[in-house]
Amino acid sequence: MSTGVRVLLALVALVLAGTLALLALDVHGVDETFRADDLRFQRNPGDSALWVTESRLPGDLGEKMLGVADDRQFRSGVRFFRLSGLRSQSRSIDQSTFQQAAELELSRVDRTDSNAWRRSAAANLRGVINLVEAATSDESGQLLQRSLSEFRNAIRLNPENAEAKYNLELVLQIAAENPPSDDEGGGGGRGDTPASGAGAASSGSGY
Amino acid sequence: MTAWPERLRPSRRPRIPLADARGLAGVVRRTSLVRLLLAAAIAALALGTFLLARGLQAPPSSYFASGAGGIVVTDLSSSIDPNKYRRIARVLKSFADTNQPTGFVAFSDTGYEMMPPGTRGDELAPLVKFFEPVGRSGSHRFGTGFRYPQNPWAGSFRGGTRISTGLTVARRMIARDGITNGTVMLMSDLDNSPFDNPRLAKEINLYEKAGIDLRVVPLFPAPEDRSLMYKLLGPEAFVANRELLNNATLRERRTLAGSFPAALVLAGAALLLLLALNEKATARLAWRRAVA
Repeated sequence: MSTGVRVLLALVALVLAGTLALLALDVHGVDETFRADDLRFQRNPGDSALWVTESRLPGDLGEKMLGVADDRQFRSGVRFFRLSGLRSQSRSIDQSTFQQAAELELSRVDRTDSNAWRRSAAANLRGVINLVEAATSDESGQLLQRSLSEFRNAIRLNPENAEAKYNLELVLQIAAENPPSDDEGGGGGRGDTPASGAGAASSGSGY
Repeated sequence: MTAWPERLRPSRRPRIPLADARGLAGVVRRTSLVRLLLAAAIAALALGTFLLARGLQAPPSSYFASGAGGIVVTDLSSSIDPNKYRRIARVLKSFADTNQPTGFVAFSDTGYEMMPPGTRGDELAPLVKFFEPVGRSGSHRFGTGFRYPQNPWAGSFRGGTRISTGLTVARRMIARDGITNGTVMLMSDLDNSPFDNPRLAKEINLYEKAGIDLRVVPLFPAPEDRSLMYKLLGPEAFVANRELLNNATLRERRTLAGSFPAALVLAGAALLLLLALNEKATARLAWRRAVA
C-alpha cells in the first residue's frame, strides 16, 4: 500500500473517529438534558424550554438514534396536563387551552407510542380530563363513559397501573350514585369490563 | 439405452457433436441456475419498477401532498392587512394557474364555505383580484398606501379571529364529501382570539383523529402567535417560504411539483445492469460463418 493511500485512510479514520466522538457526546447530552429537565419540570412546569437538546452534529442524529421523540411527546402531554390546573375552582382561558393541548398530546401518545407504560399513563390522564369535564359539562353521562373507557384502557395496557385502578373504582362509584337518565342513554357499566382489568384485583369494592 | 441429462437431451438445433458431452453436465447445471436466478431477479425488478412508476404522483403544486386536492381555509379577519394580502394572492394564484382542485373556506369569527371541495383551481382566479392592489392612495410607505378593490366580505366578514371556526367548517366539508386523506391548508396571521385557543387545540385533535393533514401558510405572524401553533402542530406543519416561492413560479416553469423519483431511477438502473449481466454472462455462443 502506497504512503498516499495510507495517509488518506488515516485521514478518513480520523474524521470518522471525530464524528463518532461528537455523536457520543450528543447521545450523552440527550440523556443528561432529559434527566435535568425532569427535575426542572418538578420545580417549574411552566418553563417552555424543557427537554430541548442541543446537537453538535447536523440532523439531530443523537436524538434520532435514541428515539426520544415519543418520550418528549409524553412529557409534553404531562406538562400541559399539569399546567391545565384541573383542580382549580375557577380556571383561566390559558388553563383551558393547556387542557386541550394536553388532550391533543396524550391522544398522540396513544396513536404513535409503542411503549405500553406510557400509553397506559396517557390513557389514565385522558380519563381524568374527561372525569373533570363531566363535572361541569352538559354531556356528563357521555364524558363519564369516556373516562371509564380510558381507565379500562389504561389498566388493559398496564395491569400494574394502580392510579388507573383507583380512578376506575372512583368513576364506577360516581356512576352508581348518579345513574344515567333515560334521555342520556346508557351502555358501558360492568358488562364490558375486561376480565383481566381491575375487576380481577382482590382489594376495593369491585368493578 | 443411454440416459441423457435433462439439459443435454439431443435437440434438433445444429450442434457440435461432442464425445464427452456428459462431462459438461456440471457446467450446464451451473449455467442453468445462473440463468434462472437472473431471470427471477429481472422479473422481480421489472415488476418493482412497474409498481414504482404506477405509484408516482405528481401534484400540480406541493401544497396538497396526495395530488387529490384539499381545502384552503383563509383568514379574512380585520388583522389581515395589505402586506398579508400579497401572500394570500400569491397562494391563490398558484392554485388558479395550476388548476388544482380545491375547496375554499373563509373565516373571521365565523367560518363560511365559499367553494366546495373539488372546485377547479381556476375558479379561484376571480378572488385573486381582491387581494391585489389597483393603485396607490395618499401614503407611499411600503406595504401601505395601496388601494384595493371593494371586496364582498368587507362589510360583514371582518371581525376578530377565531381559527377554529374555519377549521371546523373544513373538517365538516371533508366528512360530508367522504374525502379520505384530506389536506387542509390554513392561511392566517395566527392572531387568534385567546378565547378560541381551547377550541383550536380541540379542533386540531379532531383533525388528527380523522386523519386530516393540516398545513399552515403563516401570514407574517407575531412570534407569540406563531409559538402556540408551533407547540400544537410542530414546525413541519408550516409551509416554508421556499415552498411558497416554488409553487408561485410553477406556471412560468411549466413543470409539476414532484420530488425526484430516486427509487424508480435506481430500480431502472439496476434492471438495465441485470439485463446487461444476463447478456454478458449467459448468452449462447455465437460465431460468424467462415468466409468462403
